[in-house]
Amino acid sequence: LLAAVLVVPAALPPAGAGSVLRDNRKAPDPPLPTGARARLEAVEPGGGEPIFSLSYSPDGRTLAASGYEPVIRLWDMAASKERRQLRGHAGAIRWDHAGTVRCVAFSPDGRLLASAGSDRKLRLWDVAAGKELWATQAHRFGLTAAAFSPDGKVLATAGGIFDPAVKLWDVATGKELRASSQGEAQDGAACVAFSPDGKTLAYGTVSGLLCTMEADTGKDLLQVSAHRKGVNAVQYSPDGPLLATAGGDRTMRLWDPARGTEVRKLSGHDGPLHALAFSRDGKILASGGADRAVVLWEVLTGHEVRRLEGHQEDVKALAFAPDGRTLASGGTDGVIFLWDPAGVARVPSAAELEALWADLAGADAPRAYRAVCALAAAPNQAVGLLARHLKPAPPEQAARVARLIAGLDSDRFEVRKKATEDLRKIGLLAEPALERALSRHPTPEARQRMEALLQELRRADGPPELLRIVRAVQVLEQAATPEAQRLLREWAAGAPDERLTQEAKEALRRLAKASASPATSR
Amino acid sequence: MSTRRLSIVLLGLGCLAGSPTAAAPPRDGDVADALALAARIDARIVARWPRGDFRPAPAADDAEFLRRVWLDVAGRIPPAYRARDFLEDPAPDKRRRVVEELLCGPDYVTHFTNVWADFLLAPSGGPRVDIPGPLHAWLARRVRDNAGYDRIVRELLASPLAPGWPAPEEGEESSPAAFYDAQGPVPEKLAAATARLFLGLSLECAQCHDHPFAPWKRRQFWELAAFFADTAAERRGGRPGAGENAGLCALEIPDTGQTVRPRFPGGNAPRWRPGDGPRAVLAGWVAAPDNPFFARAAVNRLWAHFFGTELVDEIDAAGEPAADGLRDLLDDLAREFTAHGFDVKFLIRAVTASHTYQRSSRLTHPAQADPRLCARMAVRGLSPEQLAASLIRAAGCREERMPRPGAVGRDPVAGTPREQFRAGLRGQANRVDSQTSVLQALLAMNGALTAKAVGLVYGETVTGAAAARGIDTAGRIEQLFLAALSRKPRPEEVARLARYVDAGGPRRDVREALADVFWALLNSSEFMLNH
Repeated sequence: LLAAVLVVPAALPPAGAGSVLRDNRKAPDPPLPTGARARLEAVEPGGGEPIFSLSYSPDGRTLAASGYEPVIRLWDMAASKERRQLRGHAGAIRWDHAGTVRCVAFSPDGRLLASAGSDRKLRLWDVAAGKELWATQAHRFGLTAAAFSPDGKVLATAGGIFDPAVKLWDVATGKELRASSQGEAQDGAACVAFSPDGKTLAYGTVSGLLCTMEADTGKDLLQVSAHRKGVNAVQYSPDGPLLATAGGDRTMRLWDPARGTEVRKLSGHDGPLHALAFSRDGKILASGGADRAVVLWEVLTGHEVRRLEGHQEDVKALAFAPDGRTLASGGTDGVIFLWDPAGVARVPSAAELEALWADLAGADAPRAYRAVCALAAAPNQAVGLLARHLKPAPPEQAARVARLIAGLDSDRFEVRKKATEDLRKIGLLAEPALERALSRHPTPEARQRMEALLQELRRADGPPELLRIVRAVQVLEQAATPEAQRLLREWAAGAPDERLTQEAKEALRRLAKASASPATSR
Repeated sequence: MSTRRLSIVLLGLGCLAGSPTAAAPPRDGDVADALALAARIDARIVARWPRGDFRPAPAADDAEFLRRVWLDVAGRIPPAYRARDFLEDPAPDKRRRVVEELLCGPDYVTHFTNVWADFLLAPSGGPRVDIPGPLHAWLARRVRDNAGYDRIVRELLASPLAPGWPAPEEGEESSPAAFYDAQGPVPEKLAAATARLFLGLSLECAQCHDHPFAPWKRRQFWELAAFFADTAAERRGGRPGAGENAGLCALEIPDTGQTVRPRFPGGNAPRWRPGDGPRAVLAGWVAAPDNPFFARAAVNRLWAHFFGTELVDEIDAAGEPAADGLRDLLDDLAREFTAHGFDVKFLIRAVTASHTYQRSSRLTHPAQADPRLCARMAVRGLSPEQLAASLIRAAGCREERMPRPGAVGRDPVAGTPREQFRAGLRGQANRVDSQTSVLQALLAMNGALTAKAVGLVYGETVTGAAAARGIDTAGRIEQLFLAALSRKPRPEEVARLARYVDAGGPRRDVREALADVFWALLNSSEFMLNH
């Protein structure tokens, strides 16, 4: 118990670290569950009411929380205490709890906060001033979700079970820009998310569809029967190559957003899912639902890597802190937990390092995750170890993959057969090259062949080299020290179509983006 | 339309295919047995051919066989690249290998789930009905796990029926109870359905009077019906396990005042043990290896799936002269099916490996026209699912990308093109007989899906063939043929069509001309039929 409270990294509350905020209660604080750094619980008034939504400010200093009461609470992460309450949502809608605030979302610049209420109102707040900028009756019935576009100029809302439209709003004026075109034809939207480039809006419906539309025109792009029950949460991975949905059918699914094909199904929860969140590097997905557990998944393999248990009731909201070092979860038990997703307390010894290197390539995903976190927590040793073992990709392999892909469209059966078999062995390491070949007008037949192969490779567990590459980059990105970034740059200079090169480039891009935003002010 | 049925179809078997299918490779002994059975099928068929001026149709070529076996086993045509690979593969055992690949694949699960569901739900000769989700889920799991046919029928007949039972499987409601709703949960209907579907016996007329020419008495019918005496009450929400005192089950023959107790159609009285439910006792008898009717009815049905007509009309009509040799074949198939654990895949392996199945459908001698001779392959229409799935595949459509007109309600996929397509075909006869249904053809001619299939927007086949680099006009035409007809074009076809395409058709546009060619291919009988 004591240890759990004392494992507090520098990032978290300096004073009263790990303290539990239950000011006005006489009962002794319950112990923190394993992996949790802190518990936030509003006490007065209406404390303990269910939490439905959490949103971190981009600088990571504030966590906005909303739920059953018509109040938005802004928690000061530095002091671990409530800083401000935003009040405005109210309502007398008989069939829903008066004034429930179903969703809160910080704008990308952190100055604004949007909130969606069961009082049918979409409200925009000035965070610093604590005052409402505008409010509009957005849908016919209570709203279920709201999301900012990446440029912060547009808000998207979902109207829930009785209102089929997804609507887009001008942040500056509060005026409606457009609604999803299908209007009456479509069943209720439960959740919305913008793609990272802002061009596409994805939404999930109460009957299990995953849809995407062009944000600028409202044109429908994709519609997939995604879950056997409602889609309760939808999220793009940070770079946008994947779309994740969490459903009432106890599963999460990963999708190729361009083609609408299912990439993976993640199952392991024992109840409907309510919330999901991608880590900043897109390598980890967190999920929560009616079985009260917060589960971390490795996106690459689809395996569960860690389980965080402490909520007494359904987990309804999840949010990763912008620095990726904290995961906040909120539940219908009225409690917000701040978790340490890594859960590492100790720097590995020199002897342990080599074992960790081996773990990175292993099929045992939880073990590999512990290795990633352990290495990231010891950046100096990790950079040395990884630099020693993993060299930038040489050009020969890329040339071979290119030859094999050309062989897929050969006139000769034997060549096609051999090329398919060899590419199958190379596995997902050939993914970037295959994707590129697909974009270069292949014959319909070659396209089918490549897509079938890609789908097969994505469903299979990656080859050990692939696992190692992705996880090694994950270590360096998580460590993010200058030395780690130097090694990433070395890898990024390898042969262009190689997986290591691409992974390293993407990691550097994310790190650059993070350092440009206010998130890294600490 | 059932939610689950289509969601499975649309996901390309999202769930079922996503998880590794439980399809284990067959044991060597099973394969050898299947090949031996195939040889006996051929021998028995050949033995029935007339002497003198008669010759059978030639063997089907690779393209004809491939398309047929994909449609029969996987329920849709092959992708173009699989067709080309098969045609160019020099391996001598490639026909057997493709069957094995299909039996392990997700399309087999989709297709045979539909096949069994239509079998269970459609009243004989009646209109198609939608498959309720839990029943579809239950069947799909059984097909995926390759459960023996006896186990499927036993579970179906013995399943708890009260709402909420049995417990969900893999988090999904899964229950055969809808079978009882579809048949109408009254004893006489369930008795007639049990006899017809699982025993191949038409007992319906014995419901009111003794059978005119078969040895079935009215009393026997009602004794069978008595097994279902409490079924309706149980389905309405009685507790699971209602009718525990199965031995006390009784039913009155209408308007006679006569009360009968459950008895098997053969005349034996069940031996009741405490705790036995009446349906479970009946299920044990129906699906027993020594039941003379059970396996025969099943293989008769499966034969019809592959050849268009059943081997014999009546399972129990002994001494029907025209069917003499066929009755021996039926017995042989039934014996092997039983000996191999009622494994449907075993039977599929045997049938598809036979020369009888691998014969061309081209009529080369007038005497081949008699379907009972099996001297050529019957030409069959496609089921709505086969046609829709094949059309979507041929056109290279991503159906989830297509816009969705019309109201949806709670059904997540109603209103998708495939659903509309199916809706247009609903209410038709469930079994598609030797002629392509006119309605199917009309729908394909006018249907929105087909229009979109050839449209340049949605189909990747035409756009891809038009945009592909490094191939000439003949190559583009070959792409269209492989996609739609699973074969390469003949030289004269290439010559004629290349002229048209190069000239750009009436609109002087190569892409439009390719779309015209593709449209013509999709509307040809070669595409519309399983031949």
